[in-house]
Amino acid sequence: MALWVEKHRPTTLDKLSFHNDLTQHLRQLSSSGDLPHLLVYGPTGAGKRTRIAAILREIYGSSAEKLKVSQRVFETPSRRKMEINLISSNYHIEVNPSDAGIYDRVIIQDLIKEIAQTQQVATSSARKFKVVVVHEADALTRDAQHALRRTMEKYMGNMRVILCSSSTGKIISPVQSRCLLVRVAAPSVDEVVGVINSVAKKEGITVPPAFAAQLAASSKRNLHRALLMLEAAYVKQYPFSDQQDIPLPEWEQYVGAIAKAALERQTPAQLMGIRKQLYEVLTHCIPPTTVLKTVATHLVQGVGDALKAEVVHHAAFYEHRMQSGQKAIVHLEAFLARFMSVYKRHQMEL
Amino acid sequence: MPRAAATPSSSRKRKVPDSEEEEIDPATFFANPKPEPSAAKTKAKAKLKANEKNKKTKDLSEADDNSKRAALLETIGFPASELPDVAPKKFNYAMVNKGGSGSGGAELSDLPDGAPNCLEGLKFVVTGEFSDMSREQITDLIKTFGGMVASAVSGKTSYLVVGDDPGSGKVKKAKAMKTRCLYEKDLMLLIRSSKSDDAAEKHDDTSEMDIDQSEHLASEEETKVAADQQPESESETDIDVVVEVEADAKAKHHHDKDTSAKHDLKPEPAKEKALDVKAETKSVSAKAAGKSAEPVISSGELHSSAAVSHSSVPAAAQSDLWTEKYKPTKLKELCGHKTSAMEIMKWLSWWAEGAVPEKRAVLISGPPGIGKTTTAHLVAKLSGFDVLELNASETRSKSTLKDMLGAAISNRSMFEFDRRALKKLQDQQDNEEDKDVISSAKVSGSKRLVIIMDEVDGMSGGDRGGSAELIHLIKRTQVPIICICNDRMSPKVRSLANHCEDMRFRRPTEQQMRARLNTIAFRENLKIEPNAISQLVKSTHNDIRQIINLMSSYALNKGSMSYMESKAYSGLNRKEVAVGPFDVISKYLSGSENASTSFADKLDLYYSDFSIMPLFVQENYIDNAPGNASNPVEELDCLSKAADMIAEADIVENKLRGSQQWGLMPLHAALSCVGPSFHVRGRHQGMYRFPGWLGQNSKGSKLSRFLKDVQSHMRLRVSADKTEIRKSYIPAMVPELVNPLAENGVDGVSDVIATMDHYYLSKDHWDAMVELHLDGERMLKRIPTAVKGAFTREYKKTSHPVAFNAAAATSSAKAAQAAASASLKPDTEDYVDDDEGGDEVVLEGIDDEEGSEKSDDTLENDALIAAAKPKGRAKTTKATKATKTTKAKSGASSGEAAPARKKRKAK
Repeated sequence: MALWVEKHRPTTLDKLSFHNDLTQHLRQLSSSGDLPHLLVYGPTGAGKRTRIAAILREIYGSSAEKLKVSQRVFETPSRRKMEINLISSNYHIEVNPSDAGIYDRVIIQDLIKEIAQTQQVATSSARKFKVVVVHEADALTRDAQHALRRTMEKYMGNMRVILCSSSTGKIISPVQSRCLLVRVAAPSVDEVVGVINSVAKKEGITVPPAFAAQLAASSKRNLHRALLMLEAAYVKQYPFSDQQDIPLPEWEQYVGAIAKAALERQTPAQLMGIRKQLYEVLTHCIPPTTVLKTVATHLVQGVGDALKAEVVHHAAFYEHRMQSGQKAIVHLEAFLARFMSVYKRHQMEL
Repeated sequence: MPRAAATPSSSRKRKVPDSEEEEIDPATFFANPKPEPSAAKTKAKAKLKANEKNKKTKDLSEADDNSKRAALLETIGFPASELPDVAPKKFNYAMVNKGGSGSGGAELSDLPDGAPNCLEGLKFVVTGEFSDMSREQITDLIKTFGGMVASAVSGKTSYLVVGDDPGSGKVKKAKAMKTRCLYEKDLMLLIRSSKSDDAAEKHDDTSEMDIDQSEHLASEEETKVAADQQPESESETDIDVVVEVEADAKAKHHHDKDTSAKHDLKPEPAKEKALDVKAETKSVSAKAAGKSAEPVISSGELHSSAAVSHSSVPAAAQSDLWTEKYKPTKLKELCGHKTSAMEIMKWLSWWAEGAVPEKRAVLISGPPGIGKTTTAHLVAKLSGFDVLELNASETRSKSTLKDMLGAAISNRSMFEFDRRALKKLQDQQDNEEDKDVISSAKVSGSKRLVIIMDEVDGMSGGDRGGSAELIHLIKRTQVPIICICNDRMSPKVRSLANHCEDMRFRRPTEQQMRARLNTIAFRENLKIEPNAISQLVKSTHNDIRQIINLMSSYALNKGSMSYMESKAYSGLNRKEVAVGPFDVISKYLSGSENASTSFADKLDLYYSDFSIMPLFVQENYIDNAPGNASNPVEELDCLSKAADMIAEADIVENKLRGSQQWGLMPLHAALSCVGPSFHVRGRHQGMYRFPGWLGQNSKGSKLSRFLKDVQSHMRLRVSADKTEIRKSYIPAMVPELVNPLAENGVDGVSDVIATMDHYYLSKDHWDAMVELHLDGERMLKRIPTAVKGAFTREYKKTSHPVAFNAAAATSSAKAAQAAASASLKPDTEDYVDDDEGGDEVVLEGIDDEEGSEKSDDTLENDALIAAAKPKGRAKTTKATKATKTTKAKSGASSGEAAPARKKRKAK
């Protein structure tokens, strides 16, 4: 009962279907016998992790795919115990230090150094080095990134680091300069359609071209989502018709409703109602940035041309503030209060 | 001259005994503070010059002073109906005024020096802004002179004091009520006129005086006059304004070097006295006629405050604290809670009669300083009980309580066997006029014991078990027990309260305290204005003990207390009262309270609880209707400004807490509380809510913990991170996990379980994922209960693959040891040998049977799989040893050990 998105995930570089230049480049790198540190970045659903897995397989062979999960306990300087999940094969280890929140430095210092200080013991290994994959590297605190700097140079002989991040903006430049930057761009709509078709072929279903294009468009070029939506649509109704709606993720509908409420009426009471909706979405682990971005997109569509620039400006302003703050709700609320005030004034002037 | 000096003092002396002996009800005395001003009244007048006398109307007589005063009140100000007219036409004597003193304007804005209490009995309402003084100053001014200030116009309002831009509501009301109105300077005139009236009157009395003579007296009289600050009687009125204004002007001129009003006064009464003396017979008789109804004590009062009080009051203070000295000795002397006291007495009387009431103890609770202990002691005394008091100064642990009270609760007082003492006591009580006394001693013929447990909420720390023991004692006591505490809701007291008759004491009101305070002030020769009492009551939050203490320390230095003095003095001794967040939030958001609180005070409010106040403001600011917004757009503007500041405060707080920069706290206070509340201050709709953020935050962190858990279990199958799991996988997977159950019922269970097993998800994860989905709750409702049950049972019946076991954390040496010992048992046949397995994931392909075994020895499931395996196969001890050492080195390196072993095996 695996989801299609996992079932049909390419496991080798050969099976990758788009970004062929990049694939070629990666193949050369991995076959050369050495590998620099990598910083793989790109939007979600573009295939970063798939490519990382493929590189590892290229280097170490199929046994790099034998994964296991384990849990390790770390102790912070304040004697707090933290459990961190590690995913590892014999040759590499994957870690998500951002699970530890502000204590990610401890993980970088303890775990990665520990791995770096021991040599590869498996003599069967094709390579002398081990690989540490750091997921969500853009969520690393600065302290943690600084802790990584020296480790990356000092233990170059034993270890390579692959950082996986959604953008380079939050990776400090000393770390960037130690890495080979690998950009995995989101697939184009055509490429998404191509993947949809190939998955459909393997599953033995037919997808009308128009429907495939619609899926690709509403997935926002996120391949995970495109395939998950394809499967969801298949479960809902098959054979496909061109007019079939694409089931949007439920949170997108909720966030859309927030924007709609703000456009509908601009009163304090309405803002109070919106606060409840915001809380609802935020507590269900939708990242605040996503919420703000989605709301702003809807709002921009809803207002006249005269206001579009202003709305985007405010959205950017409050998003920026939200990054340096703590309680997302207050920033979202401030954004919507500002929008209401601006929009109401605009309407009165008309 | 000597004669002149001697006469007033002798007359004072004559009166002193009178006033002290005489049983004047102080309440009436102070309520009607018309102490005759034979001396004080003179203050005002000295300035008159000969030419003024000519202008003066001579036909005034004291008999119609009041009517004249009334007439003046009529003439000052203007009817409300004229209000809209900006041009100051109004009262007749404005014209005269202009004619009389050319320099008018500037002088009018000076603080007027009128006769004390000249505004007694008048009610004012202040509206608008004033050019020379703030509204608060105006209010203080009115109160200083004994007037009352109300917030809304009513039929009883005497004057509406109108400033620039007056409130339309008040003006409208004033018109409807036909209230007279005053401008700022009219008010000054009103106040000033009172003094000049006195002067005029005095002038009449002393018209034959030779002013020159009076100069010689000035120095002699100075001392007396300095103390001569007592409230003066309601000023007699003189209508002739020309005279008074001129008198005023001259007075000012004459003393223009003197800065303070007080100094200003000094020489005047001195001269006055001189006049007074000469005309003694006449003026005294005239006054006597005018004031025959009033107790003539004030000169005595005066005298004592000037000379005697400086010796007598400190002496009294030394001998005893006022709070002890004036402890109530009769029921009627209690301030408030008389009914409670009666109830306790009734309860005690049952004991006295030998009965044991159902509740064997009384719990008195209430804020400090309202007389709980006093009442308890008084009631015990009046009911004829001996008191055994235990308070926080003693240890009250279980054992000491038992020792001290265990015997006492079945004891009787020694007193009751002492017949002679008893007799004496009975005689005393017989003589006692107070009918409140229930002489239980007489009834029962004995005096009994009452235990007073004071400060029971203070039992803690050393008093281990004291509270429990007390409850135990209460259950079987033969002696009444009175417990006293401040905080009825404190957890220490709550259990005790179940065994006691609950008796809550509230703060006595100002009315209840006033009479008692006046009595005390009277006995101590402290002159205190009615408004000053109100001010003290307000600033101490009705704490009578503190008021008395304040008065006693004040009396050491001064003999009288005016409104302004009490305000300043109680400001120095302000009582800090613990305020809860709900009190603070209303101070912040309510328009009027916000406006009347200074910026510094608002900052202080934040510190009452700086972690929760910002949340309170954030929670409640939207519900406020901003007072200074006139249309919906402005309202939203205010809201948006407030929201901006709150958002900014969040950034500051992040820095503040993140890097411990506590110096940012004032900024945080301003941004999180003071600023937003400034923008939205106004009327609040509905109740203030408790911050919802706290609940939402904990819900959010719970769900994100779920998400992390789900993601880490799915990780072997799904490469996505947490965010992507939430944003893409959960919307797609949850319907697949729920719909089969909702649509196919029990038949769908196996499908769902198969999906879950594939992703290493447990039933808990299933619940978590459904909860993470925004529509999860709705979807859950579609599943019939029976199916839910079947699903749970089915899931429990079978065993399932697990991605990893949380208990297998291998970082600690202990875990490594445990793992090593577990690994001695070779049980690795269950595992697929991945050397050949190739594509298989380690845990994949385990069928149910294997799974069940696996769950038996979970410790080695994951991290140790690789380690355990070769041991089963490798026959040499050497290999085992090598494995162990590797493992001991670190948990993480166990992964590396495996290939090494495999190599060996291959050999």
